[in-house]
Amino acid sequence: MKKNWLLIAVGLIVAVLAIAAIACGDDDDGDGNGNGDGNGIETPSDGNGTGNTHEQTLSDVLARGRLNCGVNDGVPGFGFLEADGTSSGFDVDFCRALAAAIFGDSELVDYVILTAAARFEALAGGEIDVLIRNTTWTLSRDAELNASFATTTFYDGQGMMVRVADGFDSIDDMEGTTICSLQGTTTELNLADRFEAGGLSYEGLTFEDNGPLEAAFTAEACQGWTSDQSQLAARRSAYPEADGGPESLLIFPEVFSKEPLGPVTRDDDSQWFDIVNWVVIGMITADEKGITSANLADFVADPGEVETSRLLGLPIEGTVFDSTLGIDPDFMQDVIAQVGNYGELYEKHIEPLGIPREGSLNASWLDGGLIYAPPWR
Amino acid sequence: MAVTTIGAGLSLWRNVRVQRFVVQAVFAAALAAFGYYLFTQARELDLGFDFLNGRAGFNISNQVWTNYDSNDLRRELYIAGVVNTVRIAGVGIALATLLGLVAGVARLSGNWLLSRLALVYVETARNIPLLVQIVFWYIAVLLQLPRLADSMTAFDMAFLSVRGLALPWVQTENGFGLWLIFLTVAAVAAVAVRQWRGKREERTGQPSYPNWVALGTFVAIALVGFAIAGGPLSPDRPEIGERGFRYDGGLFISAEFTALLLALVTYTGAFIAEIVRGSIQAVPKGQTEASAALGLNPFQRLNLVILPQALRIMIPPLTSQYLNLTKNSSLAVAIAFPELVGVSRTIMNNTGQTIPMFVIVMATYLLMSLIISLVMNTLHRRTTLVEH
Amino acid sequence: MATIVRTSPTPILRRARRWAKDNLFGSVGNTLLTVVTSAILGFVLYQILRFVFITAEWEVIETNRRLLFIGRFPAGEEWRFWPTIFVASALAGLTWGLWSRLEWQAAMILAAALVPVFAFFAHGELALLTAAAVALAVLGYGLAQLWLTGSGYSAAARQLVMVGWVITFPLTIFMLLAFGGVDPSLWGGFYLNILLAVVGIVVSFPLGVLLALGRTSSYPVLRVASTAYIELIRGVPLITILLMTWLVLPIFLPSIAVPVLAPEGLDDMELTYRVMVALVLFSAAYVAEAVRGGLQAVPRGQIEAAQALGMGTFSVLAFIILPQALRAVIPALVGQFISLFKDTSLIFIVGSTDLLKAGRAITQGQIEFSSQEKEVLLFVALVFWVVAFSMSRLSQRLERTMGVGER
Repeated sequence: MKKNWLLIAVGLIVAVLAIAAIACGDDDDGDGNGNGDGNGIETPSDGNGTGNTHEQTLSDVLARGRLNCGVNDGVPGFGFLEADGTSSGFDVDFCRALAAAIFGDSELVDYVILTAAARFEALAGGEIDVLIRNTTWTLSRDAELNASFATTTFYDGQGMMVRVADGFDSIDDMEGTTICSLQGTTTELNLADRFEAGGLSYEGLTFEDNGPLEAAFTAEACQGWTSDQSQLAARRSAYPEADGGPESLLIFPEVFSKEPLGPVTRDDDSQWFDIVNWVVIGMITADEKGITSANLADFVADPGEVETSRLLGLPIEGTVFDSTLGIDPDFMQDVIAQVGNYGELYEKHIEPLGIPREGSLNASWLDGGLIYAPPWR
Repeated sequence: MAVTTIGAGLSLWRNVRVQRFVVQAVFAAALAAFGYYLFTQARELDLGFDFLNGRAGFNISNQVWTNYDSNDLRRELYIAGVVNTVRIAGVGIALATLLGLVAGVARLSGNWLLSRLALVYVETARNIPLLVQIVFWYIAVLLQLPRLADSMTAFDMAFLSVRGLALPWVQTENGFGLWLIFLTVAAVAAVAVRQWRGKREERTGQPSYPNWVALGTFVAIALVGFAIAGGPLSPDRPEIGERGFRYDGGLFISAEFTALLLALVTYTGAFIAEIVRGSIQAVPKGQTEASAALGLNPFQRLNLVILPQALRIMIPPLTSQYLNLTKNSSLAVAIAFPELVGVSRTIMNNTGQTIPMFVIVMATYLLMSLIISLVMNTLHRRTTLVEH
Repeated sequence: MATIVRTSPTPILRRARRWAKDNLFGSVGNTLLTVVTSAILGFVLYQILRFVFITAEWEVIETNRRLLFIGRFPAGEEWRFWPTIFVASALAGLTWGLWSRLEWQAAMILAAALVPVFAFFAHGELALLTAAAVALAVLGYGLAQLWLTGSGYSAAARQLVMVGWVITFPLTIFMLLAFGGVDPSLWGGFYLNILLAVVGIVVSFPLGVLLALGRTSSYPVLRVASTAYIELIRGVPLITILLMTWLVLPIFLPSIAVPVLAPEGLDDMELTYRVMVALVLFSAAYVAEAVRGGLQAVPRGQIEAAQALGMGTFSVLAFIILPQALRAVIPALVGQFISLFKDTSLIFIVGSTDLLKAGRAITQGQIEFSSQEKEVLLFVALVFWVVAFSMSRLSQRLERTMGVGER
């Protein structure tokens, strides 16, 4: 009996390896997956050759009557779960804005909680219509993953947070330290590159989620905490007074990666991509023009500028500007009334985290930032 | 009707031979078809193991026998992960057995308080998900220790802090290889001596202390070799690094490793305690009474009479606990201990090579399970033979 | 009736002293043990009590009790839970009462552990419903203990209760999916843990029986295939199986639509269902091993006798072997259920919002609670413990009442 067992087990391992080897036998081109660029490709999402195309996302969504939006559940300010189980945050409000634009009702959204590893698969497989889950726009994702990135909603970058008491002035002081980070797609790679560039050694503690990480950092098990700067700022602002409060922590101004975050759609549906893109642009335009959910009625009554009329779908000398997006021309009215403009969202979700908009990359271009809307015409 | 051979009158379906053949053939065909389907699906994907030769690109903590850094290849990273799994499993199995043995015996102790305490421990530890326990040990116990710069210390020889435990250790010098040869010789000699003394004891009936003599032989040869090799070991005392971020020298056991170890040991120990208790209770009461009548003290009774017999019953369920512990070490991902599943996930994230990575991970676990079963089955055979 | 009069009624104090001497301070060694044990016990108790009553801030649990227990389940759909809960608690009471008796110690420990759970859970309108569920359980227990046990109906009642449990399972699924239904991706919290464990054990049971029969079969092909499957699954961690079904399975599955389970094709199955598939595949191997133990316990003479009576292979299996084997493995199956139940906490790896994941999402996402990790962990541990502990007690009881393990 026991002998049998062993034979079978050995045979099994051999068989598994053999199948794998045969399956991979004809793959000898070695197409450079080993270049370590860390582009965060999780699965060869279009590799199964089903030729699934989703060119009618809009009609699917309209037929379904609800929008499927892929979001995060553990990022304060951007996407998290409220005590009643509903999703909330900056990213989540863009989902609501989309629903408002399409259906005229921002509540018609089903949120699909996604982990970093599953998000592109869920998008490619049609499980979600749009992915708004602090996803960084990179070349390889755009090119290889059957994904299209709409206008960036938040410019972020990987940074480093330390304790003031430790006396570091920059990353270059951090020789021989221990750094805490989350298991992510690029975080650990950027960190290693940055320390290597400075000729520094470090030890990395990589956590599955923020709870143990924050505990480890608070207990001084690590000297540095690296993550997107928005996340660091959020954690810093909520750092308990018992542990020293926000003033005891310092986030270096240095950013060692660019992380432009925005909504993502599938590559093969330009109409749907345009809708997602222009809803975001419309919210930025409204911000530039100062149209908020509070004063929308005034603008509808008296648009003033012609572009405002076009934005809000109001008649100009009897004709309404048609966006040809396939949704109501006055969709931005619903968006602004039910969700708000870009600045309102920022103020509602990001400012409370202790990340002021003024002077940041996410200020309007009118104030020296990068948030800029193409003309609405 | 004509005379027929037996069975020929039955329909083909009732013929056992035919039945057996048809059932198995159909099943084998179905399996083969399924395998072929998987195979064709797998062929369509762009799979390969080349990514293992790519640069890994990130650092990991908790390396003891490996020396991997971010510029090394992914396969070296994977090896570092495997080494960490083996390390935690090995130490964990040893300590869990010890704890289980103690708790199992304590459960049967005549001391009311002690047996109750053991009961509470067992019922608590085995009814809470291990993942919760791992995070609990890390956050609620180990992270409560002082920071490294303010380490607790014993005579400046050993240090304990939130980063872990630093112990005095030894460093190998020139001549260590020579000494290793002496150690091997010593081990062989010790085994031989033990056999000889054991035989003598059996033959003459005089107590010949085979274990003690063997130990003496080993120590003597090892010491002589140590002197000849010119003292190939030197003490290695840990100290707090100059900036207070790490320990220099000594043996370092990290907090993540410790937390995982504590959780695995207390969790598995509870199950082992129940196995130990059951096995001891399965030994007939007469055995205890007889050994008491022979004048053995309680410790001797347990050590010489009860446990050897209980061991025989214990080993099969113990094997499955050892396998569980090894597999459960994969939950380390929650507290930043880079074992094989943890590093594999990051490799998957960075390369997108999910399927090949899974094949490797599963094959590794199967291999480890196989080795553990092999060792335990051998042990089981040996203990069973003792009876006859 | 004659009353038995104690010839020397020992005063309580002296009795206590004698008990302490026998059990705590019998010898020097024993006294030492007692002292050391008390020290450990005192230290641990002090730490726990200090944390629970002084340091901890329990607001995080109170605020998030909904998230912890039912996850993202949409508001206004909670009525779907109650029929199942009522039926299940009545059946639980009946089961306890019919098959065993509640030991008062266990009952007290359970009650003590349940108090904090109720304190957080049963507020306002929930209090009434929760009280009703508890009342049903007590009623069931009382009914079973006072009338049914020992009466002529006891056997019939047991069968009825068994049927009831079998029906509860489809009822639960029906309540979640019928009348407009709630999307499986929104099932969550502790309810999901229980649901996954129940689905896992119920569905894997027939699969496990087949595998066990395969492994003990005289057909080499079946034997090798079953053994290979069982050992493969038992050789790898559940976490890798979960990751497999999550990341790899969809690539291999054909896009054949299966009603309810995968209306949009097997390759596009709901994550919650995929998790269930993983748990079933995993659990089947362990159930198979338990059942195999039962099969081996059936005396060979029984099978030979049945064959001699002219029974076919199938009849022998269905009427002679399985009934005896399965009866013997019920305690082992309860054990497997407990372990599967604890293992459901591992679904955090695929992002489902179970109790533990909900707890982690709270401390991660709700910034005001980000340092309350310990409170959440302790609460999660307590909830898991209450269920696992009562189940394990039940299993021990079953073992005794069914006379298994007394061979």
